Amino acid sequence: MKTYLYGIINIGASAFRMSVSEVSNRGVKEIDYLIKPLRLGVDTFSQGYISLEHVKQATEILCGFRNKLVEYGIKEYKAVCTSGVREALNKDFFIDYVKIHAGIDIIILEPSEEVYIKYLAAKLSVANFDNMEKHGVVFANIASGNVTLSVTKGDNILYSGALPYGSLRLRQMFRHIAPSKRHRAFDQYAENMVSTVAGTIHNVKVKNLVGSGSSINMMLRIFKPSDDFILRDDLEKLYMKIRAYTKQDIVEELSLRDDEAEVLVPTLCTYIHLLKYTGADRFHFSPVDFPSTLTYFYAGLLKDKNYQKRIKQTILAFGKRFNINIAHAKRVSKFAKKLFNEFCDLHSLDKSKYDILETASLLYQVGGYIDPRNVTYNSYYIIKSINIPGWSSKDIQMTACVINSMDINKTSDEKKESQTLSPDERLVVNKLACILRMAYALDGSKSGLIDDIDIIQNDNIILINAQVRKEPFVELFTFDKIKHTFEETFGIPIDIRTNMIYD
Amino acid sequence: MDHNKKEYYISRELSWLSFNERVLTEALDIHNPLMERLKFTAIFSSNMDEFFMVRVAGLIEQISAGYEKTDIAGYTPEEQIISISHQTKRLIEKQQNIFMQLRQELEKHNCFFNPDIIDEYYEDTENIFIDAIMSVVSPVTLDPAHPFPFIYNKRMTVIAALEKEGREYFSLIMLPENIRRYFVIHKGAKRIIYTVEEIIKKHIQKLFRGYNVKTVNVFRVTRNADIEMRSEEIADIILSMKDFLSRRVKGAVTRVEIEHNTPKYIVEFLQKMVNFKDMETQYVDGVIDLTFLFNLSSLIPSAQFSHHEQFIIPYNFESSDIFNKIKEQDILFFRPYYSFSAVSKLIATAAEDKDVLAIKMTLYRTNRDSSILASLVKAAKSGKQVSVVVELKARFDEERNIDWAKNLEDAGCIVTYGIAGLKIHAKCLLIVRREKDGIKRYTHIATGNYNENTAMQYTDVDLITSNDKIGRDAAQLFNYLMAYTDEQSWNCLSVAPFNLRENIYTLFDNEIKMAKSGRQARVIMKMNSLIDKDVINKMYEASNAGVRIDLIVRGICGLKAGCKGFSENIRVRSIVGRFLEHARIFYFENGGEPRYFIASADMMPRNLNRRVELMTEIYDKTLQSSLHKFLDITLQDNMKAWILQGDEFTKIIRQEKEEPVNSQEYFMNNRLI
Repeated sequence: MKTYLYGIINIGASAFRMSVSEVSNRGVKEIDYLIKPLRLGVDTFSQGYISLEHVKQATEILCGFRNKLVEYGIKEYKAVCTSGVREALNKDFFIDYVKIHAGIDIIILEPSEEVYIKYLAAKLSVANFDNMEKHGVVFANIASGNVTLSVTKGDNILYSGALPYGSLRLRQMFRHIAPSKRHRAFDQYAENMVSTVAGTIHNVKVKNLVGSGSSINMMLRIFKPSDDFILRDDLEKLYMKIRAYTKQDIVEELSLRDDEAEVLVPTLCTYIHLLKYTGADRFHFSPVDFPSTLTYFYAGLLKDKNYQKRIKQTILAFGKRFNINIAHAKRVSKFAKKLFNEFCDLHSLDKSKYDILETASLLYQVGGYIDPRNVTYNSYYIIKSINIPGWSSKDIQMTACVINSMDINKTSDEKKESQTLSPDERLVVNKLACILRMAYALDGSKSGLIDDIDIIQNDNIILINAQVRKEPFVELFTFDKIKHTFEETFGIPIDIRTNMIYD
Repeated sequence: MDHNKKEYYISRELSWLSFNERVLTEALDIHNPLMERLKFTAIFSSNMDEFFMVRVAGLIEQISAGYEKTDIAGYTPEEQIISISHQTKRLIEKQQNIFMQLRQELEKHNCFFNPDIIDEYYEDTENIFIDAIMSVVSPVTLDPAHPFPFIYNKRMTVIAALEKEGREYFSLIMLPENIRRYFVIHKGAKRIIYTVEEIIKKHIQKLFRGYNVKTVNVFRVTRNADIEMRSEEIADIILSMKDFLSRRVKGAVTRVEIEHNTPKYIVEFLQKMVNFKDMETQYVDGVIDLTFLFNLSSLIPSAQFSHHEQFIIPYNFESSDIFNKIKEQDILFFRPYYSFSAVSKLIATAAEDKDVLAIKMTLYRTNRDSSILASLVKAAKSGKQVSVVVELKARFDEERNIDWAKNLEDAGCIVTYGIAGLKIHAKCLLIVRREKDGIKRYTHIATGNYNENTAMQYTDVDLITSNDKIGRDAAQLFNYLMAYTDEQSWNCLSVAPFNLRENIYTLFDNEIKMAKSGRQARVIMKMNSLIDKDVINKMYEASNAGVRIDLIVRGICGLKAGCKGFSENIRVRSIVGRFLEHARIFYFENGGEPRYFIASADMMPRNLNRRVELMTEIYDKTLQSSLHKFLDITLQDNMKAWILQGDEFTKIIRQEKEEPVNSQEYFMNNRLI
């Protein structure tokens, strides 16, 4: 592997950071690091949009960062923004303005991607993480805008999501409350966050807390831990001491920067509530900061070998909560994947669409939990609301649309959910929905009558050869009803014939 | 000990005057060639000008503002002004006496200074007056239509009292800036030197036909040149700097040098019109403003210092292979004993090297035709990223720096002007190079400026290194100075105003700990000035703990040396010689594992609190030995060294049995690396 330079620009809610690294076989070596505080989150979390003054200041900072890219002759870089920009009403203006005036292309990092990347970094950098995971881990990234949480136990991801409880956001929300009692508001809010998570994962016990995020550096300077954890006792002592301090008092007492002092109390409060929830006496921290993590991730060096397995487990666990027929889901998934692979030449879709199809095939039934008569419609809304670690909201939306589009009886009005997609994306959804329909038909009776299939492609027809144990009347009936959609989608007719397997 | 006791400290201004007296005393040293002795007289004058333009100006401002805070030695601004006035009077008399002695010495070389303009010289001086003076001066004879003109800073001015038809008039001739200050008339082997004012005095009647010239006298105004830039001016720093410079010319009067025989009523008239008081009036019995003696030295080349052949660092800095050499070993050298061209060539090589991605440097003071800046322009034009952090506020070099900044910008360099409220005094160059095994940084850190001219007159130390940690810190320093980052944590460099002071304290605390535990503890610090009260107190604390401290302080020293109870273990020396001592080198014994540092900072509040300064450790053992030798020889100097006892510097008198040691001469003749 040739050594190359990689640049990461991270536009956070309270600061802009840039990391320049050398990436090689030996790993990643950071050679330059920049940080410029600019609290976009103050605008976003209080007024909903980024003020023009801050847009211009941000552009000025990014012009400096661009000079750094030029200095090192960096071709490959990623500029990502999180909640400070992501949640701003004028995010598109911001991104466009920066592109025009600083020449930097910014991408928005979805909360699920953010938490997944940070979780992965912690998994690889925190000692004994895998062992902790066996007993359950709450991984918390307390940033300015959001607290991103990932709750895992064994191979199951019990919860993953970004919650709007970031320290700067809390500080902004409760800025009108006097410092002497502002901490009570933080307490109530943090308690609410913990209840939300606890309610989602029901009674599963998790016993460890791992923290990351920009707040870690501040905590390290305050507590100067000799190991990679900070004790709950220490957090509570400090919290009790300073919770009613003014910002200036904190600056003087702890020699912090203004912007750090402002978020210290909500940060401590959040950690303490998460520790109470887990019952742990300490939280471990990841020593790797976010820009470095992003470098590892985008350079392809941050990989979870069990990712696919973990995601599948998580999806199935999610499905179980909605009482889906797991065996049926697995069979549909198996047929869908086989059809996807066999029809590569027909659909020309990449591997990421395979993941969408698999997820859609596993979860298409979840809507039945609400109303069995309107499964796909309800599934669409349930799926749209979930977070899958490492998946963007676009991926989730496409998955939901695939399920929504598989019902051929829907009117175009009922398919309006897909209208938010671009024409290209709708085309992808149509192809995947068509394959999913075929796969569903192959287990239409939900009885597993078709053991396996072979596909024979002729010049003018595709033939599915199904090995069956019993005559699959429902499957054949269903297939017959939908097979025309295959020809409409891929331009070639399809048919099925059965071969009885005798023991 | 009670740190509030003023008896423990020496007043900054008086200490500076004492330094300038040491400079003046060099003019008496018969080991110096005659023309160099004249030069020291000129340096004394030039220093005095700056002292009045900056330091005295500041005190006057403090008095006007009703500011009564005392200095380190407990003097109010008013008390300081009074002391300065007394000391200055004494020093000016001393200077004129020395100049009289030197004039006699000049006569031995057939050079005569301002002899009476007798018949023999009349025609020559008349020709000079008509050809070179009359045509360029514009007398202003005061009347209601011609009010008293503004007298510019440091401009020699003639005032003539005229009489016509029983009425008296005053006429002023402010000498133009570009007029020659002296003229040399050759008469056979004799050379007659006349100052311009002497010729004017003789022939002034030619300017005032119809008037009777009653008296002619000369005066010179010094003004406040330390005007602060207003904070609102920071937005467009170049524009506001130009405005600031034009305002500085018109600063308040801080001193008026006037001939001692000027009639009292004329002095009073000038005091009224120019707005100065008795306290600011400095009577001179002799020649006002001897700075012109700088230029006179070329008159007798044989009476100058012999040519100094600088050592050359034995590496080929003009080839890209130099980067491999630097990777093999750090390079350290001493200016002016070694040629600074190594750095100029390194930059020129970097400018042409295809693998160099970026060059960054700080620019505080540089020379007019700097080859370094020419190389930077070349590098920028060839597509490298060149970033220069220019300190526009380098006092009296502002205009030059504005010009350079513009030239660099035009060439495509990224030019920034540092951080509001902090002067950039660090001397640092960073070369970023793409090599086979990744990005490599080459850092140059020096105690002196990137000025090829002063590099031949000031003693300094330069380090060139490929040390990754130093390079990383240097990169961060530039990131900070160019406002790319607010990160202020450093791996190994000490950077003022962030951690330099604390790191100095830590080093002292370590020595104190060693001394208290009975181990050998020693500090040697060479610097230009020491006036920071907290640092001085730390030195007293170390002395009381048993740490042996040797200080080599060229200029201001607020510390009292060798005093029972607080500085018994502190020795202070000052070297004033051919070259201006400028290197800051610090040595800490560290329990037998000595640590060596070089720095751009003096131990002054302004350096430690309000300037960006750099201190770096020297890690290489061989280079440490060179520094050790340098300090050792400097401490042995018994020819150009002064020693401080209490608050008084006295010149070290060499014992007969002692070998003479002139440290600067030693370094000129002996390689340290």
